[in-house]
Amino acid sequence: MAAFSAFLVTVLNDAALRDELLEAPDLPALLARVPALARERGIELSEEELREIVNANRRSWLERWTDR
Amino acid sequence: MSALRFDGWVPFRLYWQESEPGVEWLYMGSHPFGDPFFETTIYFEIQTPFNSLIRFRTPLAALAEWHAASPGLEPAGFIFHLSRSGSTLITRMLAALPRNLVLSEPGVLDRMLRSHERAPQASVEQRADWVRWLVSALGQPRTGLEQCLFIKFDPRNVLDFPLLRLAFPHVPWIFVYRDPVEVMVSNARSSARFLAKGMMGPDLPGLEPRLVEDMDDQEYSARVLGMVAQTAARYIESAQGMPVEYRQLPAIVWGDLARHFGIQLTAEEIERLQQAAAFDAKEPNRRFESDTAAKNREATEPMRRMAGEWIAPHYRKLEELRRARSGGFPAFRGWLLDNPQLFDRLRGLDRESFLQTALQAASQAGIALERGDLESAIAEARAELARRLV
Repeated sequence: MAAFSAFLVTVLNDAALRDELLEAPDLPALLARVPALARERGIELSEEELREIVNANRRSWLERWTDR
Repeated sequence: MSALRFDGWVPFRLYWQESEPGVEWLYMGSHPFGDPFFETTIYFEIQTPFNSLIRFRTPLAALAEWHAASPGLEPAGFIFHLSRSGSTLITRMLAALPRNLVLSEPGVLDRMLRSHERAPQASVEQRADWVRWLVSALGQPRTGLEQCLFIKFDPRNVLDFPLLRLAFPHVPWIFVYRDPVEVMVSNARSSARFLAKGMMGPDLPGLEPRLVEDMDDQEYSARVLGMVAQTAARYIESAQGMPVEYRQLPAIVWGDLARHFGIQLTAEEIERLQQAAAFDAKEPNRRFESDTAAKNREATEPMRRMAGEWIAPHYRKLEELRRARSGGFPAFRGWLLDNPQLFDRLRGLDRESFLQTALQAASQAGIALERGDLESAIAEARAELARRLV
């Protein structure tokens, strides 16, 4: 997760990287693109890790009404 | 690390670590909040490939820094309501003008206004800061054209009015309400979320949790709606809110309401507001049709009884306040001057027909007018005429 957190901060500070990610036509394309872009910036992320993060995000959104 | 910049990012949700709040962000770029409700826009935005993966959480310190770096639009008006009373129509109309940024019931702000439930140790000043920072982040211009920020709150947030007033002491506000039976019928068809038992949290004066458990759903709804109306009436008196009755819509939006919010409208903008009012607020692809008669047909005897017992006294108080503020003969006269056809019709009538026609027209326009107001105005006019003749 530390690697992904570092990647998030990179995305926040790098509008060109953000725009490149926004261009991904669908989720599989985005997940395929991220590891290489992260590696170019010295961050190691696998597609499998990313898929877990997407699932955790989905779960967190679906459970939003229960976390008062 | 220098302060982060959040251009194009929207805080869409609160999270808590123990009693410390933080916010979760998603990216919307320059997309507007184009749906009738904030949550609907978020629902679609969160499913984009980018937001499915890239969302992040920050503590409130980041929100404070973003507020200092980019304060966003100052709120120009707040909209509170009883539910099912026309408030969404008002937000849709305001949102039809490109210069307005309209946030309709953002859940994240509702949670922040109720932060006392999760962070009872935080001072009220601290919580007012949190609210200001969040509004500042939500109120960032999206298209670049926006100048005015309007926020409609969840009905239960009228209970949080003191905190909001502390955060924004000078923002004009309105409370929108409707005939209690019609509100009850609408909520019986499909209940507003705040009327589900438990959603109001501990803020139920006079209602013990033990009583709520066994209470019939309709009675519970009526009592909560009554409490919302009562609270609004209290703050209207003490903090200069403007009461808006459903029957005054839509014309009041380009009239008194615009003036109350300090908006100067061009003829073209008024036309846009009128066009927006022609469509159903919650289903913008359908044309608007009044459902007042249908709702009254649907009202059951218990619904009428509950509405009468728990909501009607506060509805009457709101009407009294509205009347004191903008009703009576002066309001009717002002409105009549803008309606030359009615003016001509009234001129040819005998006294009794005149009174009845005028009262009916005023009622349809949502102007609080009584027979005595007209009779006094007639007597005054006659006395004035007599003085002149002498």
